[in-house]
Amino acid sequence: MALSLQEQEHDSDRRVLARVAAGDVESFGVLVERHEKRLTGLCERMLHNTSEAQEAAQEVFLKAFRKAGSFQPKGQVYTWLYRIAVNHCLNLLRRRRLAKFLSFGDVGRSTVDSDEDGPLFDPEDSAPDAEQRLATARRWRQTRELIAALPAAQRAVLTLAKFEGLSYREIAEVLEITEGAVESRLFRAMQRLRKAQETMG
Amino acid sequence: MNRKNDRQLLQLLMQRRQRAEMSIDEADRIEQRLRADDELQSSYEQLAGTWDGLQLPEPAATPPGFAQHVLQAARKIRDHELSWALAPTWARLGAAAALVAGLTVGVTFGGAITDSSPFEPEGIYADVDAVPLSLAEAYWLALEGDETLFAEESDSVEGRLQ
Repeated sequence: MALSLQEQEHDSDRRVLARVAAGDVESFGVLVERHEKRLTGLCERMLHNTSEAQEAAQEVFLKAFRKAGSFQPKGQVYTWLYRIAVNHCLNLLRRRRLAKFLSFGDVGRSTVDSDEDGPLFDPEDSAPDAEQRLATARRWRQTRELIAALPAAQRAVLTLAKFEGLSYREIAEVLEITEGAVESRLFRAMQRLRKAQETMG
Repeated sequence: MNRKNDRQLLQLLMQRRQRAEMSIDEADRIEQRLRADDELQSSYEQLAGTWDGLQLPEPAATPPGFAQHVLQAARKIRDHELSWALAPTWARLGAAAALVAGLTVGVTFGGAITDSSPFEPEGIYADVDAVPLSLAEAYWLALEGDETLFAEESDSVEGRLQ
């Protein structure tokens, strides 16, 4: 039976990773080029900080390079990469929260645990769609604040479901939990977000 | 909302929204259920509104040369691993033996060394007068009234200078 385009890509990923595990460093470049956009995007959506996300993505790829020999050929390479990335980002978030706790919190700082407010927006902009752009920027900021307040496990599930478009089965594979646990975490995250939205007005 | 079935139904709806896949029969059944239960319909609409309201900007583009940069770092890792793997057997065995010996000494004698010499300040500074003063300390003491100390200390300094 002929493989679909997506299956061919997954199969190709596995073969490339097998070559890397066998010592072919140059093949690793193929894997990086194939997945760099997805992984930096995931890191950015987890960390809400572009420069930190790019650095994190690089570390994720290097972790994957070191662990290439431990990859189980039954799974998908991209879910394996996602797993490394999610765990790495969650560790960074824990460290960030610990650092914030040890510094007794920064007075006057936003509740978003990030030092970026997303793309720059100039309120003085006189363009006709300025109001709309301001509303969009506000919505992005609110989303960041809402997600940042979620527990790590719910944050990961929500990010993978909403922004990465992964199915429950894929999320379960990435996080190594059951599909039922994915459903339950996502539902709890949504309830929490709804309550937080009500509080924010 | 507290009923288990309702919770399951809402989870299913969330799943449908996320995956955009559901059989027609299942969708019809859920539609009927929602129409029959206002509270459930309202809960679903609120959750759907929250889901739709979550928006983030498109992630920034990967910087140019990202893959090359990662590949360069990977090459360094592999070179480092290779240099260690290619080291002569005697060097690797020697390093391993030194590590094991160090750990053994640390575990065996580490506690004994720290326990054998407890700090006894009263023994060292038992005779406070025997502790030599610096010229500055003697000067400040003299200012406070004990001029004999300053005289003794300045005599000894002058003696050393001569």
